[in-house]
Amino acid sequence: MVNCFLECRQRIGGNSKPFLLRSILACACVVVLLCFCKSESAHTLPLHEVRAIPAFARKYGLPCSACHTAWPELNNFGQTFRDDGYQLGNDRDSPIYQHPSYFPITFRITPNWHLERTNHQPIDAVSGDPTSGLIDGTVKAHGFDLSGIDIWAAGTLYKNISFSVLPSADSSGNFHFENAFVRLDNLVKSRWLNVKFGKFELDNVISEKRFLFLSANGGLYQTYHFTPVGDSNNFGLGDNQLGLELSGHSANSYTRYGAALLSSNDGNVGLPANRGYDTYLTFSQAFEAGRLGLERFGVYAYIGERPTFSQTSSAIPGAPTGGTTAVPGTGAGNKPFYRVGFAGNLSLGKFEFLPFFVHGHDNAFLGTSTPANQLLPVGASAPAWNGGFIETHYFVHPQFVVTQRYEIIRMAQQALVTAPANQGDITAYSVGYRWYPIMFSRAGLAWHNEYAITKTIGNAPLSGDGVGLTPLLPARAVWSNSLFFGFDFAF
Amino acid sequence: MKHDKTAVALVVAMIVVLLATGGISAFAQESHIGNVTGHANGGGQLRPDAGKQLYRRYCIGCHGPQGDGNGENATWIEPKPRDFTAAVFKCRSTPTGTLPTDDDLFNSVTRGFITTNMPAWKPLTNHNRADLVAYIKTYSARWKTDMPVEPIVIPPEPSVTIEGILHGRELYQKVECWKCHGAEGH
Repeated sequence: MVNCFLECRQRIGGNSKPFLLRSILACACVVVLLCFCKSESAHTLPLHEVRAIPAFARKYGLPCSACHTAWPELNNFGQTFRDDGYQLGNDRDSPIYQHPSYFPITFRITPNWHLERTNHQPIDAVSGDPTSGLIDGTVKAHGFDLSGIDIWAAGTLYKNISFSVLPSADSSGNFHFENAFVRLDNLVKSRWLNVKFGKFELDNVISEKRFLFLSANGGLYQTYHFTPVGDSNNFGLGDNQLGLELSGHSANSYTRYGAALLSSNDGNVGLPANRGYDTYLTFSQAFEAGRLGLERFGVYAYIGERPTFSQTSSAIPGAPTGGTTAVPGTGAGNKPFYRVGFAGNLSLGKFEFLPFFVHGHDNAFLGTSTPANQLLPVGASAPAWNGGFIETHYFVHPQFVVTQRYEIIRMAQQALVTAPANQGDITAYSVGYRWYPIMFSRAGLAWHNEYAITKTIGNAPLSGDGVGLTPLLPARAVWSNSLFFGFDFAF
Repeated sequence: MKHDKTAVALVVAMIVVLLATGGISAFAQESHIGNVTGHANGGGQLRPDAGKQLYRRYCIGCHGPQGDGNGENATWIEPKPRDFTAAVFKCRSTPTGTLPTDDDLFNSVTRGFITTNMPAWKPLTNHNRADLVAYIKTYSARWKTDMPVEPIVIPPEPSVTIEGILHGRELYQKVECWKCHGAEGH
């Protein structure tokens, strides 16, 4: 590793001593942290959907850093490339130009070591004895592990026709399609008219699929997946959705808009729940701030509906005796919800600042998980909440970035009057760094170190750590910690 | 609550540190290009440090760490990446044999070259592209020794005459248009 690093430094003609010193210090910190950990069984790492495509770097002969601030996060050049339908505007765009053996595929996985510790979890008083009663306990696990794997192919089928297909597996090898779409660009010769059809990421100013956190507690935006306690809505702003998107952008992508019509199934295939449709609208504008860099501000709104009950049939095989089973895809009694907010991507030289705000609102039937053909509980209200985060990146140089994020969610209105006012509130903090010992146009490697902590009131942490159950008392704070380091590589 | 306050204090402290370091590095930079930010030829105010980081991020793969066009991808690219150490540029507004203007270089970076591997870097900010031009000019001593040259004033398009066509053929040979466009012009 050190030899590789020194070789890299030599190639760019720099002084390697300060960088080597930093690397040694970083490794020393990790070793010290390791010394505080006792050996126990490993914990399954949730799948982290993060993206970068060395296949494009190979195709165009550009280093990862051309399109990424620090991969997988896109810079404006990468964003423009993506907005143009994976085309740079030169001869290499055309599939026919490529060598016949070229295939635009990328693998990404992260061998890692991580520790998870979650307190206030309901566990049996005597292990193995379900009659011993539940007590309030702490669950801790650590060990060497694997992340999920992305096997991603994307590129151009023809001029202004591009595609993406991403079979993705969790660490145990269970595959699903994270995205799969065809994109038609520059309709009627206008970059303001582009259409995407299939399953894709919502066009958020701050992409969760391309962010710089990997740990169980830090590797997700809490605000992108939050629903109040007891809410039946399965929507997540960070979940890829199925539908049709119309989008457009200026030549340098400083101005961007998107409008999507989406199936109300939260991206799940097979029409499992509903026959309804959602809408997602987004607009962002970037400004040049001289020596400071590019400043982008954006607003968004997701307006949707979810079913509260389904048609049922007692004739379906497997239906319980004397009971019925829901007929898939026949959701009814739709009730509305929305998420609105703003986001930014602000530069201050080597410093990047990502603010995000969301206001969420669900219908009372969703908030109380009550079928619309039944009466609401007495005193039920539509739950509402506010959330947001401030994420910062400091790019020491293109191959080293320090990250941190502070995130909060606060309930503004509980669905049930009996619920504590702060039940479901979340406070989260993550800090880490990524060092890229190599940065060229064939592959990518990052040494990733991260610590994350979350506090969730009266609910299981969104990371799924611990036993994934609510604490015994609804107002109790569940603290969950993650320590993570690993080699994140893509080829 | 105590943990909340600690976390907030930690975040504020980190933001202050990051702002300070980021701000210092940002404000330590100078701007460069003539009609973009003011410094036509750099001179004593040339501060290419910012451009160096950008060059490393965007250009090094093709143009190489020494700026000589021998980046890791050069083997696979045709036509070859520009050799900045030679300070010879095809696309310029100045007479043959002279250096291009900063605007020429800036426009080349902005527009790219459609039949080559060089993309249009328009998505980069004006300031970034200006910083890159400033840094590119550090690869050759000619930028310090050669006098700046005024751009050629392009006269109105002449009428088509036999003499004009013959003169054009002479120029076609003299400035070696045939090297790219072929002896027969295709």
